[in-house]
Amino acid sequence: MKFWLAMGVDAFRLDAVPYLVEREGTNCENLPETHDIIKDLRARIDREFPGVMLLAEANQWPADLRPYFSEGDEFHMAFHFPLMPRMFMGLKLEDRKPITEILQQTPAIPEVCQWCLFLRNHDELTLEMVTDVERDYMYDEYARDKNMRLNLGIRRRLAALLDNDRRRIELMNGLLMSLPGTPIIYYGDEIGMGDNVNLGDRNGVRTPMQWDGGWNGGFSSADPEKLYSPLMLNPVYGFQAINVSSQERFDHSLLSWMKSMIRVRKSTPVLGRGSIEFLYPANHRVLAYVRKYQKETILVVNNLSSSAQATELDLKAYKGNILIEMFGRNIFPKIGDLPYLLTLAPYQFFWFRLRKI
Amino acid sequence: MADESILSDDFLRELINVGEVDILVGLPTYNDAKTVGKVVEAIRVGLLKFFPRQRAVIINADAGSRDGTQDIVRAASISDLRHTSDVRALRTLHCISTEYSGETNPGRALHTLLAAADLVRAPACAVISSESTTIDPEWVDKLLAPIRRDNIDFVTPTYRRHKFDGLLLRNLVYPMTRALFDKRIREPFPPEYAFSARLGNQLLLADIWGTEAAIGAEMCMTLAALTGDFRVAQTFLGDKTRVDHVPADLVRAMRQTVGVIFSSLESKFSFWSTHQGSQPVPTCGSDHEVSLEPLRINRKRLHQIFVRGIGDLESVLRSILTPETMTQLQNSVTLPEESFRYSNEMWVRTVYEFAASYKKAPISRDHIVQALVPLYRGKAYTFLMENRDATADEVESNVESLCQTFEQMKPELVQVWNGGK
Repeated sequence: MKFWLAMGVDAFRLDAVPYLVEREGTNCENLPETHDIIKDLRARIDREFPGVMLLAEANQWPADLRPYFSEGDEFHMAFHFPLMPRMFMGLKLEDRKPITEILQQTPAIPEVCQWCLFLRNHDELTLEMVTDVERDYMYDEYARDKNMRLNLGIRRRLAALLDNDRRRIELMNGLLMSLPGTPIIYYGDEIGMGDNVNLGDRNGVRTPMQWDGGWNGGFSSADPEKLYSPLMLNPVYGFQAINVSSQERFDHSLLSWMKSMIRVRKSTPVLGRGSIEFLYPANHRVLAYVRKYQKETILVVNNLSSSAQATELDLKAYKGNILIEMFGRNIFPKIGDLPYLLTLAPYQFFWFRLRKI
Repeated sequence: MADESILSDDFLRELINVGEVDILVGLPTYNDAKTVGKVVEAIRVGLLKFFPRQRAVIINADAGSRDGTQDIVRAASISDLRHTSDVRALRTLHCISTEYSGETNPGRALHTLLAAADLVRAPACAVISSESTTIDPEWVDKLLAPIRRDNIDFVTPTYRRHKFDGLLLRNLVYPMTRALFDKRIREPFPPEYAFSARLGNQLLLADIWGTEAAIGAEMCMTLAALTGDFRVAQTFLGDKTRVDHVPADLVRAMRQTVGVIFSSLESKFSFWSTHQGSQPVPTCGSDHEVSLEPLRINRKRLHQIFVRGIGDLESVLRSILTPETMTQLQNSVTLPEESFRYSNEMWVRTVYEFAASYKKAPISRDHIVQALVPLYRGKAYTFLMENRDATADEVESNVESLCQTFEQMKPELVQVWNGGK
């Protein structure tokens, strides 16, 4: 580790950390000795390379993950595995229930720690932390072709999982960036890359990055036949259709949109550091929550449904505040005594900053 | 399109929040606090167990209960966090309640449910009685699966009933419906049933709402299903909950069943006059079952009411019945109680003469229906006497015999209907 630290790396991701230490007579998972090692590692890093971050890859229930933060003296961050499949489930069910339930079960963590949220990564979309009924549902809805299923998961990329529907891709990224945690974007998902299920193992989601429409998609100057992994070639997801270079040309491209999302997210510390309070409007297709940090408050409202929805939000506690939509910065009506009526297009979401003037 | 004026603003708002569903379960109530909790729980578990992926809603149409019925129904809805035993909800299950004034709005419960089903575009609906304490979560599957899976339009229940339960059903409603409308539906006025959107929409658009026919809206649905281009089936639900009725309930029951049948004969003449005999209906499970445990019934009282009715309503009955039938009835009341029997032929003739009279309406049609009540008690008395020691098979055989008589004598009704004697 010191070699890489001296090179200047900012963080380490510890893979499958619950299984770091094994001992006869136990299930070899989450043993105290593992935590001892992490604590020691953390203490040494803080002493010799302050500011370097440790990220736990531990596919566990939130309550079982909590010890890996300890009192702020073990991992700085951990992936929130159980939330991820539930975001996909909520979208397909058009029901906020899976998302709100798992987050209500997520314990508080030390102030200096943070969850890592993600939609996809280099592995299969894991379905270990769901019930059998939920897993069957996810398979039936997202991986009808059994070739897409691997190791209790689904080996597909984000765009392919969402049928290349730009609205759903935006909504899922909107959730990723507004729920409590640090968002992680898997390479290629920012331009909507596809997958190749005909490659073995998880290699279908690890195809070369598509930088431009030219030689090897700008990934390598080697002969295409020599590439370790073949490029995506089909007319929908192929490198000539989906690449960074072409998307940089247009304000309306997915890449441009992602950049603008990140800009808006960075414009406030609330989404990264703030608390979360769910509103439970009677319309279960609407996922709404309030994020607060210090003196700032943001209201996030998401339509998980494929059809337009109307919803009334109980915002009495914020009476007198004006809503300012954060992307266009336009003013919405002031909050009064009555439930706040909003209408949303299919898969639409709003981020509102609350201001009292 | 649903008549939105019958839906309150609050209820409409709740329907907006529910949105489109795959399944709607309706629960009409009126002062059912003692039983409704168990029924709602069973429906919930049934939906979670058998239709975990489907968008579902339970809608309670309450006629103005004063015993907290609606509060119990609402409390039984699943929150975002609660589980039910070992059945975990994949989705939000809505359970909403609306109130209407039942006294002045007969049929309003079903009308409300049909309108709601139309607005939330439910392709499969079930209605379950709030008194059915013998309910099992599997009822939800048994009622709805044929609608969803087999393209059936109307599913009625069959039950295990005590041999002396459902006397009106066994002696009048079932045999008459079967003879007139061609299908052997054991429960033509079902406490629980399921229907497709196609059938529901037809009934929603029918001209019965706001009329007296609406009091028997469930019967109207059965007749619509039997006489229209709809696929009908039955499903065995097990034990039928016995409900102790007060005498006044019988007049209402008569209006809801026989009154509706009588009133439909004119509009459905081309159907019933051209069908002979009856056909069995596809049935999942048993067509019927009979239980024989001891049950106390006041037979003597039935006979007394019958005798008194013949006397008190003589002038009314003379305007309805032929002189021959009237004479036979008057002779019968002179017999000692133990010797009195209202034969099948006599009973069927009585009923068909009432039906024909309903068409001519020499007196108020509602009075005609009411006048049948004491005569029915005479038939009920006969049934109790003849089946006092009967086995289950013998009871069924006797019922079947009555059904055959209704079918065989149907040409007489056709003839009288067409103006013959």
